[in-house]
Formats: sequence, C-alpha cells, structure tokens
Amino acid sequence: MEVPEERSGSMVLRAWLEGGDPGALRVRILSTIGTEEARPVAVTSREAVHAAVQSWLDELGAGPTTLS
Amino acid sequence: MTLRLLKGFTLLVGDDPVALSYSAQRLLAFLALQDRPRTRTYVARTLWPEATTPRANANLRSSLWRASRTGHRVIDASAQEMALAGGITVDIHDAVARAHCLLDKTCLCDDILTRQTRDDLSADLLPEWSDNEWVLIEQEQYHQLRLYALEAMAKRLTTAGRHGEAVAAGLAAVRAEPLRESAHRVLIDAHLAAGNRAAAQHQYEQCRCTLLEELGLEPSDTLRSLLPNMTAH
Repeated sequence: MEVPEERSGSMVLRAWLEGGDPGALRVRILSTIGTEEARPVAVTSREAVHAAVQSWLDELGAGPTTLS
Repeated sequence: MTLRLLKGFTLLVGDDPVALSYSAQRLLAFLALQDRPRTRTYVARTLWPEATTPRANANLRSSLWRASRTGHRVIDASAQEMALAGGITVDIHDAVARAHCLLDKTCLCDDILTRQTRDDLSADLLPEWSDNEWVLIEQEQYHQLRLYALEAMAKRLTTAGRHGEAVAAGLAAVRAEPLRESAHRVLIDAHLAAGNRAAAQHQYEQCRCTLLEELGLEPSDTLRSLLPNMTAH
C-alpha cells in the first residue's frame, strides 16, 4: 500500500566564473531531500547544471515509498 | 550584550551565555539579520511560512514571550514593529564590515588583519540551521562574501610580508571552497613570497588533484604560470 508522505527538499547552486572568465563556469551543487543530504557535486557547464536539477526533481517526484 | 551567529547561536551577557528556547533563538537571529525594524506580520509570515496567519501570529507571540523571559531586553517591540534591541553587538555585522573593507582597495585595513578577522571569515552563518528557508539566502550571501574576503586578506598579508598569516588566510580560503583556483593562487603566492617553493608546489599539486577528481579539469595556465619550472604532467 502507498504510505502518504510529504516530500520536500532544497537545492543550492554556488556558481562562479573562475578568474572572471565567462568560459570558466564552476558550480557547486548542494541538495537535500527531506532530511537526507546528498553528496555535494561540482560541474562546469550549464547542461550539467540542468541535468543535476532534473535528476534531483526526478528523485523528489519519485513518489512515496510503496509497501506491498 | 553580544549575539554570535557565526559557527552557531550564542547570546552572551558579558562572558556569560544566556539560555534561550529554540523559537526565541530563531526570532532573535532573524531580527539580527534584518537591516531595519520589521512588521509583526512580516516576521510571522517569514518565520512560519507554512502556518496559517493566526497560527503564525500565535507562534510569534510565544517566541517573543520566551525571549522576554531571559530577563534582558533583547527585542524592541511595538504594537506593529519589532527589531533587535539597540546595544547588542552582532558578530556577523562586524565580520561583514571587515570583509567589505578587505575588498575595498582604497581601505588600508591594517587594523583588521587579525586572527579574529580570519576566524570570523572562516566560519559560516548558523551552519546547522539550513532547514530554515529564510536563513539559506543569508548563509549563502555570507559564504560568498567570506570567500572573496579571505583571498583579499591573504593578498594583503603577503604584500605586508606577514607570510605565515597569509598562508593561514589562504588555507582558510581553500578550505571554504577547494575548487576555487583563485584561493589556491593566493595561497601559492603566499608560499612563494615566503621563499617556500616546495610548499607552493605541493599546493599546486593538491589543487590539480582536486580539480581533476571533481571537475576532470587541469589547472588553468594562469595558475601553472606561477610555477614555471615545475615538472610537467
């Protein structure tokens, strides 16, 4: 049966341009879902940031625990 | 009275800590981080965003009452507005002012190139309070500011020939964000200015390993140029 569960989380993107160079994007990504803190990751492109946000949203929306 | 928000919450009268409930701590910290008095409605909505308006207002009255039980005047409250009581020194206010001074090239800053400044810039704002939405932005803003300020501090100390302290400030900058090449750069500069080429090279290697491991990148030419004769990879 499905166990009702409120899921929430937060994501922080710490972004900077190394040496002020627009081609040197650096982003440190911190995220949580519920009380669980994910391992921080770092990426260097907009696409990778989008992918990380998408993946986090997917995980958040994965739904409540299903018990049989 | 002193309110410390760096590293964690502490309210001191002289050197003695004052016991406060968590809800009163939240209220006090929130008011300390505002640049002006706030209406009761604003405070209640921000601190309890998911509660109904009557519930949020009741929570605020309760927190205010708990804060008043310390026996010290910590909040100035009228029927409409509230603010942190005057005369309370807040550590992060001083730290932010010093950080801006360090980043201002026209500021001499000799009097603030101290261990206290380095310690304050090495700490995050209320690091264990990340579940409070209102504090997240404040935390991140201070985090960003302190990264730049620590690098500026290391540069100033290197220029002043205070190499040991420059290295300590540079190490604090690297600890705060190991992926910033600019932090590694000021630390390498400090080692080189001290005549310690081996330490500079070691720091470069550490930077290289971190960048490769986390980003799959080699250090930039700018960083590499600091140590022109080092072994190529």
